[in-house]
Amino acid sequence: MKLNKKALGDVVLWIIRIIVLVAVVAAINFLRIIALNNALQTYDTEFYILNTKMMYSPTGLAYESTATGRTYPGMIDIEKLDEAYINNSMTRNIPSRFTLTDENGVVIKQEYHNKERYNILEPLTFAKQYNLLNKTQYVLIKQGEQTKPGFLTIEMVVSR
Amino acid sequence: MTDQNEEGIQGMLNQLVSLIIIVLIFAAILTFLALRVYKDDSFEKNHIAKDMALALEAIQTGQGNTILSYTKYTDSYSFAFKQGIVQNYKTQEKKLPLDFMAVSSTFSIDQNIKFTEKEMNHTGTDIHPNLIKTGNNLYAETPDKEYNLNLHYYEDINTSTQPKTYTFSTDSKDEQFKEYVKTLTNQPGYQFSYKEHTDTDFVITESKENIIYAPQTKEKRKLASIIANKLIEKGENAAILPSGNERFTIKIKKELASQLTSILQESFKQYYETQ
Repeated sequence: MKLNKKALGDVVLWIIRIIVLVAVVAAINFLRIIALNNALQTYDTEFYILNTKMMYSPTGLAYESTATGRTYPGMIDIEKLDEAYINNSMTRNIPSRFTLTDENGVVIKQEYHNKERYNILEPLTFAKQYNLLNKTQYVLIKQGEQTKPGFLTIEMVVSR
Repeated sequence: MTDQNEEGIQGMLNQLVSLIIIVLIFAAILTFLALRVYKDDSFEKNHIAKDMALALEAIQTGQGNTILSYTKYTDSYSFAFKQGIVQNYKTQEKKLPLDFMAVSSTFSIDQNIKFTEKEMNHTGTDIHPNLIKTGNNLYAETPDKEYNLNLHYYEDINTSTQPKTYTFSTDSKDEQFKEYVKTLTNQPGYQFSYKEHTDTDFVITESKENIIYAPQTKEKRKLASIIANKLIEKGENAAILPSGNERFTIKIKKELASQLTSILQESFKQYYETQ
């Protein structure tokens, strides 16, 4: 009976050892995958694509005439700068902020994609782990029948 | 004393056996990893998956129709697409559980564009898969007959791309101009037919200015815009005005009459591709 108990204890010990071993090997493999992903950072390209889409695409923020279907690249439709529309336009939850300002830098409208995460990560961008990519571009702002000059700033927080 | 010694030796032996087993298992796993990593093409797969994901994002950005022939990495890699995920794997790995062997990369989907879930095979240098965005459809296409995606595209997504027969006429008295209009008939791809009276879909007439009178439906205005753009591309001015009836009237400069066939052919091609 004593021997049975001892044998059982050994088996349990072995099972624990094997679990730990598998966990260590999995961790090594996991580190390899992380290193591989870090070697292939494409955030700059992703940010460039996001910028281009928002500026020039009818499914971005560019104004599209309902009468002719023509898109006006570089002309931002203020109606499109809406959280629901932006969320619909990009499904990846990369925290981003879109700010429209007039010529004097006064904010006309500001919207976020994944606002909660943006507000958490943005103050941390001083650290190496996070990076704030941003670009300000001269645009025409279409508001109703009026068109006026202004600036569109797109900011995106990425974790390295 | 002898019992204690025996017990001690037994204990040591047990420990030794345990140690040997652990070392063997660890060595076996490390050997597997080393061989796998050495022969493994995870880096390539990761690179290709990311590249494809970026291409998918970029192609959604473009206005109108975009066809991207994906001609890179033709050494036996295949792709599988899910909503927001592209997976890359070696074609011979296809029989294994795909999720285990494949390397995935995510891409953003514009909800305003339909993404058609198709599998795109990429198995040889002569096969160049295409990522295609036509209007509000985005899909992957390959000439690989196994998947027959070309056929699926035309059957599943858009059945209205079959051109109908359009009739043309001209009220011009100029014989040369009339001849140019008549050359629109029997062109490959689209069925045009010339009639002598003006009760046709299009009336072509010579003018000092290029003006397109279009019926007031969205689709016909769109076609008129495409024709006008083609004229503008050729360095000409062009205006679009509403037509009072169901037919197009195209007023075109006499010197452009010789290019009329190519202008309308290209316009119709673009029009159908963006349906």
